[in-house]
Amino acid sequence: LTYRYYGHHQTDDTRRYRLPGEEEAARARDCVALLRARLESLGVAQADELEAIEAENKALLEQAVVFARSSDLPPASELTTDVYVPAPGER
Amino acid sequence: MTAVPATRELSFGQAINEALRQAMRADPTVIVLGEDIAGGAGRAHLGFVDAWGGAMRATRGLIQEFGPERVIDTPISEMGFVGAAVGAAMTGLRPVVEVMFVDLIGMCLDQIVNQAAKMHYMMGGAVRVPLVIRTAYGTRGDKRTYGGGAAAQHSQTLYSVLAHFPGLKVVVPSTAFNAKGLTTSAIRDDGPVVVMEHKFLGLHARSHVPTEPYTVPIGKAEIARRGKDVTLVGMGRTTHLCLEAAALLEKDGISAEVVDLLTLNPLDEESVFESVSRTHRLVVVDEDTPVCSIARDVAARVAEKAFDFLDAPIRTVTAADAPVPFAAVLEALYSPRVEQIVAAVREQLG
Repeated sequence: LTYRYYGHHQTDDTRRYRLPGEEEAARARDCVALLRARLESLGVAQADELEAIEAENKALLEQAVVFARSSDLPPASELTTDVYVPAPGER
Repeated sequence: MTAVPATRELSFGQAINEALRQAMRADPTVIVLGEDIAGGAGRAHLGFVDAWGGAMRATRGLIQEFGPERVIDTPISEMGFVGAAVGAAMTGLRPVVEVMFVDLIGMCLDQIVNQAAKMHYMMGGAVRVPLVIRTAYGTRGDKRTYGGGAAAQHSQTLYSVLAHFPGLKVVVPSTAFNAKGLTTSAIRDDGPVVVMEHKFLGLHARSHVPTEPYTVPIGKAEIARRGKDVTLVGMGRTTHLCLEAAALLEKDGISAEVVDLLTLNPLDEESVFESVSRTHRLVVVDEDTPVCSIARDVAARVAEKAFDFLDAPIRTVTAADAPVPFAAVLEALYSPRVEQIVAAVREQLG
């Protein structure tokens, strides 16, 4: 079962339609947290390895945001770019 | 002395809400269902209060009046709840099902195309499917210009896809007035009708709407503005673009007529031919992508059946032949623009 912690969009206040305690219950069975605990208990990965992976990905996402914010707006030609995959031999 | 019917200004969404409410009061077999049409209603701690009322707020307040047996907040499963609506329609109810955005129609296309649209035909007329599918379309366009940024999976138009299927009627209101009238007609129709509601109009269009129930006929176009030099054919949002273009052209002494299709299937081609017989020029403005579009369908009908009226090649103004881009600067280029309509007319008049 997938549970969405945040609103469906920025202005969606989940308190308007959720039961009290619902989100806490979902967080208690968060599959990402459970997998992490299981990986550690099975000895597949150590806590510091998992933390390093997490830090690496967080840094990548932060870089992506910086890149997006500092990039030029796309030119008009982008409107019809990448609609179709190039035919074999093209590009 | 004839009494003047009472009217007041309503938004497009409020007009649809009133059509639903009045139909539900008049006929206990009318039910509404869909995702978040009430939004959390019926939760024990909240009571029957709607948190949302749908993307257009068109179903707001219905659950308070009609209760959860007739106002059904469904799980996120278009195949399930549209299928349920088709079955309910075949067995005595008149369901109005909301598919929040037309982009989601692929999830339930089999229920619509292979069940609802052709059941009457396949059963030799013995079965009727009095189903209404309400769905929002178009780029979001928060302001007067486009640029809603709802991206490729929440901004499509797709009415030409739905108009393609025999047996399925498709209406596209352009004002709060005809939104109420067409929705009422759709509910009273004994076959399946899709009501396409433009997101921009849903939140921004306002007009005077009679308080009493009334219908706007399905299958009938309207002349939204009289003119003599060129016919601009619009539908939904593009009718307003045509009217803006006509106002600009008037400053140059060009008199443009605007035909608002209102129904895409069955299409009122006679009204288009009649207009073109007087203006001798045709520009069709369609927010959908160009291949197999309503724009090209109208153009083909005129070319086949009314060619002799024409003094200039038919022109179409459509969305780009691409998915809807996310970037606001590209979305602004994607959909038909008033200046493209004006340029097409100027070319025709040489």
